[in-house]
Parts: sequence; structure tokens; C-alpha cells
Amino acid sequence: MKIDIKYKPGFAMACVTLDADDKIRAEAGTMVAKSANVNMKTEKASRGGVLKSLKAAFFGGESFWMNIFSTNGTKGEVKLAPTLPGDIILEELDNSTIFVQSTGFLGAEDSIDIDTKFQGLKGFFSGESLFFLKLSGKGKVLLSSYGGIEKRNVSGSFIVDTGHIVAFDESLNYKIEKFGSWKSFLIGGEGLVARFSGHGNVWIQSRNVPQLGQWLRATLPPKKK
Amino acid sequence: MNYKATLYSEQFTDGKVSVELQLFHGDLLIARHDSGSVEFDLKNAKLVAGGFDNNMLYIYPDHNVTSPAILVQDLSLLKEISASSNEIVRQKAMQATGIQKKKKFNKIAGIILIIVFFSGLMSIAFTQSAGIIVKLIPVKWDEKIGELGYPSAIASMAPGSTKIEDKYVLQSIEEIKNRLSVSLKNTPFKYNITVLKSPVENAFALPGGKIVIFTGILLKVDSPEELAGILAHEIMHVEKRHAMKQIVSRMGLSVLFQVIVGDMADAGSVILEVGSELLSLGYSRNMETEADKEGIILLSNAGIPADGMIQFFKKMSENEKELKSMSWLLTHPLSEKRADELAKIYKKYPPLNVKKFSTNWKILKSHLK
Repeated sequence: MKIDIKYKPGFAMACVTLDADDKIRAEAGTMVAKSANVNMKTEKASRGGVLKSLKAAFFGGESFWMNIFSTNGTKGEVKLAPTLPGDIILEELDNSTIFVQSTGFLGAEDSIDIDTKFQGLKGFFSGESLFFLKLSGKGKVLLSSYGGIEKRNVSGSFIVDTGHIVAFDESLNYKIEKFGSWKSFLIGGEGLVARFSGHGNVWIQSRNVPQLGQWLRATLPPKKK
Repeated sequence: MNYKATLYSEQFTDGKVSVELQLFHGDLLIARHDSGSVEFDLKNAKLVAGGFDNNMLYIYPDHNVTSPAILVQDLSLLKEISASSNEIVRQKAMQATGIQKKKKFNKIAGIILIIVFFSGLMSIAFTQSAGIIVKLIPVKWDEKIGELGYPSAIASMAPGSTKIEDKYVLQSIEEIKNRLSVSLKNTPFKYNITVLKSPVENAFALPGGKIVIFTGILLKVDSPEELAGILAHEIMHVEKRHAMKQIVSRMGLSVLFQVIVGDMADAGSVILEVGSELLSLGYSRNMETEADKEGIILLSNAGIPADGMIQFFKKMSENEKELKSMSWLLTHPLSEKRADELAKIYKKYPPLNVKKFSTNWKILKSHLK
């Protein structure tokens, strides 16, 4: 499998070249184009029981169904892109585990296991999704961001606004904290932040989806009565 | 024993390298990688639980928690360290285990809190949506629950009471009931009234249309209009399917789920099972208000002045001593506000074409004695 990411960083699109036995699993609705010999099969998002997929759909913010692209013994191509403008990054997991914020997942090689992970109280208060997608195994993973994406190595501790987290390594623990004083929390526009501790990588995005929502809401004309 | 681990250090190109750990003499940890080895003296080291679930162990050579650091996923290393002969090392291992347990506890507490919060939200949502769900439930179920609930309702309120067979009493009540039920347009329910001999001052309607009146309350009533008021109120509980709404909002998700999935037979058995027990819980304030209002509208349509109903309420609440024995008023608490509201609604819906009842209430009362 060869993956070439074009139109970085603003409007990235992943062009996946599939070899004979390659399969890629992609979030429903992300396919832009494909060659005619590439088959698309719609399957439950996670391997394993229906419940696991339901869990991913309800709690992970992902679709219940994912599309699996494969070729029948020949070479083929499929192009994938997320909804929001932004970048795509290709990561290779080597029997390791990463946690991905729901909008940050674009696709993964079939060998990668997809599950959801409950965030507990942390997720509840952070205003983000209560669940992360847990990707583990060996293979290629495509992460997508709103805005640019930066892979940051953490050693000790590091602070990221909760709306800017794309993904992070399993070796990192995080705590949700209020940023600054109560005054700056309430009126300073800085919301909650995640303090990562340990060692490993954090992928952060340069724009924030909830803030896009807020901006849109404020900008839209009022409903006509 | 050897443990697989990761060594984080700036000296490696990736910032990390895979290592094999081995513990010597309970306090010396050696991490070997392809191009050398690193020694950690556990007496000076810092041990911290870490990783997403706090199910990993970080080991730092001193109090500086940056790098180098060792990350190990296999926690049996921690057990091996806890067995060290060195007291300081042993305590460090215990501390790391303690942090791990505490964080696990926090997580469980979090889950419980979230469940409590959401079930709170759910119950609010369900009270609101109960009406919609109830529309999907066949009317037959109301009747079934009424049937099932009848013996237990009688047994709890007036055990051993006998049916009144007196023709004058039954015909008089039948006349009131007919006047009311004719004014109900398109009702799916059939109303039938049972009069039971008992000092209990109460009357109630079971879902599906079965109405029970005890002679105790008949003796307190002074006119057919007063009884019509009580009946109109009870009939509206049936028409508005308050019992079913109550059941659905209390039983919540399981019912909703089965209604959506379409397996009504299954949901039915659950409702019937729990229904009769839930009936004893009584109705909510909003339901009582609704039954009041709709009851008065029904009286108005039937040409019966509703001041009989209001009068009956007032009469009963004025006599405080009697209030205690009046079980009907206990389940239908009367406040000044409620009486005022009743009067207001009555003003809005005066009776159309008032028609008197033929019953002489004094004669009826004499038949009860």
C-alpha cells in the first residue's frame, strides 16, 4: 500500500494505491474517488461484535458503518478526504496504540484494530467527546485535522487546549485543567486544557472545531419567524 | 526475569528505543538495548504510574521527570520491586501502586457520576416524551393493566368489601356516567362502574375504564352534580392515559427501545408485570391539573354545572378532621390555589344546556344505609 498525501496543508487528500491484497478501512463518506476495479464493502466499524461497532458509533462519534476498499488482485487507487479543510498525516503503528479524537480519524489499514475508550469524567467536563477511538496493531493510520497538524514529542508534561487534540500515544496520561484563573476561564476565551504527562507524541491541530461552531452560530442570520 | 520496556532519551534518533529490563539485588535496574545499556539505581529513582489508564510504570533516575525515562507495561516488575529487601525501594513501589489504585477509583467514581447525571436527564426527557410513546401503545393494554390492577387495588383499600346491587343506586350512577360518556367524542374506552360497600371515602378509575366508587364517598356527596364532578375527573385520567404515561416514564428506556425495535409483545409483558405495582404510586401534579381542567370541559359539554365538583372539594377541605379520613382528598390534595384554578376554568367553560338529573339524592343515600 502506498499513500500519497496531496494538497497539503489546507485541503489535503490522501491518494491510496492499493496492491493486490491491500485493504483500507475508511470513515463513511470520506471517499472522493476510486478506480473502477476497487471494490467497496460496507461493514461494521469495528471488527468483533455489533456492540463494539455500536459503541464506536454512539460514543466515538464515528459512523456505525465503515467502508472497506480492496482490489480484486490488481492495482487500484482510492482517494480519501475529511469534511473540514485541513491536513492529513500518515502514521505507522508498530504494535502500538494511539487514542484519536473522533473527528481526527480518516482511515486505517485493515490490520489496525478500532475500538472506543471511555474517557471518564475527564471527557465529560472537557466538553469534548466522552470517548476516544483506540487504534492499535501494526499498520498505516491516516489522521486528519482541522487546520494544520503538528506532531509534538512530549517529555515530562505539555499542555494542549482540548479542542486542539487530534491524537496521542498510549504512554501519555492527561488531566483536564482549567487554564489560568477563574476570571480568564470565564471571560478570557480560554477554555479547558489537557495537561499531558509522561513520554510520547501528541498530534495537535491548528484550528478548533467547537470554536468554528460557535463562530458560525454567531454569524448566521437569525431565523425568520 | 526480563521485561520488555521503552527507554526515552534524547540521545536516540527517535527519542526512544526498545529495551529489556532486568532487576538485580532488588534495587538495581539494568536496561539493555542494541547499542549499550543504562543502569538505574532504584534507591534514588522515582516510580510513577502513567499512561492513558495509569496501567503503566514510569521509572526516572531521580526526581527530574523528563528524560531519560523507562516505560514498562508489564506491571509484574512492580511486584518484583515490592519484594526488594531495601526498605526505601519497597516504599517507592508501594507508592506507585497506591497512585495507580487511587486513579482507578477516581475513574469508577467518574463513571458512576456520569450515569447518575444521565439517568437524571433521561427521566426528565422521558416524562416529556412519555405522551408520544404512549400513543404507540394499543388501548387494549390499558384495559389489561386495569384488569390486573383491580384485585390488588381493592385488597389494599377495602378488603372484603361487597358489591352494591341496589337498582336505584346503580341506575342513578349509570345515568350520570352515560351523560358524561356520551359527551366524550370518539373515546376508545368503555366505562363501567362498580359500587362497593365500604366506609372508605374514595373513588378511583383504573386504566381502560373501570371505575370504582365506595359507598363512603357516596354518603359525603350531596347531589348528582357533585358525583358527576368526581367521575369527570376520574374519567379524564383514563382518557388521557395517565397511568400508561406514568408507567412509560418510570420504566423508561427498556420500553422505548422495544417500541422502536417493534417487539411490542415483549414490551407488553414488561408493562403488565410492572404496571399494576406502579398504579399505586398515584399521578403527578400536572396530571391532576390536566384531569381537573379536562374534567370541567367534559362537564360543560355534558350540560352539568361544575360548581358541584368545586363545592365538593371545598366541603371536604373545610373539614380538617375529615380530611384525614378522606383518602380521595389525600390522593387529590386540594389547595386554595387549586380551588381558585378550578373556579377560573369553570368561568371559561360554563355548562351548555344545563339538564337536571332525575335522581333524588336523599332517596339514594337512604338506599345505601
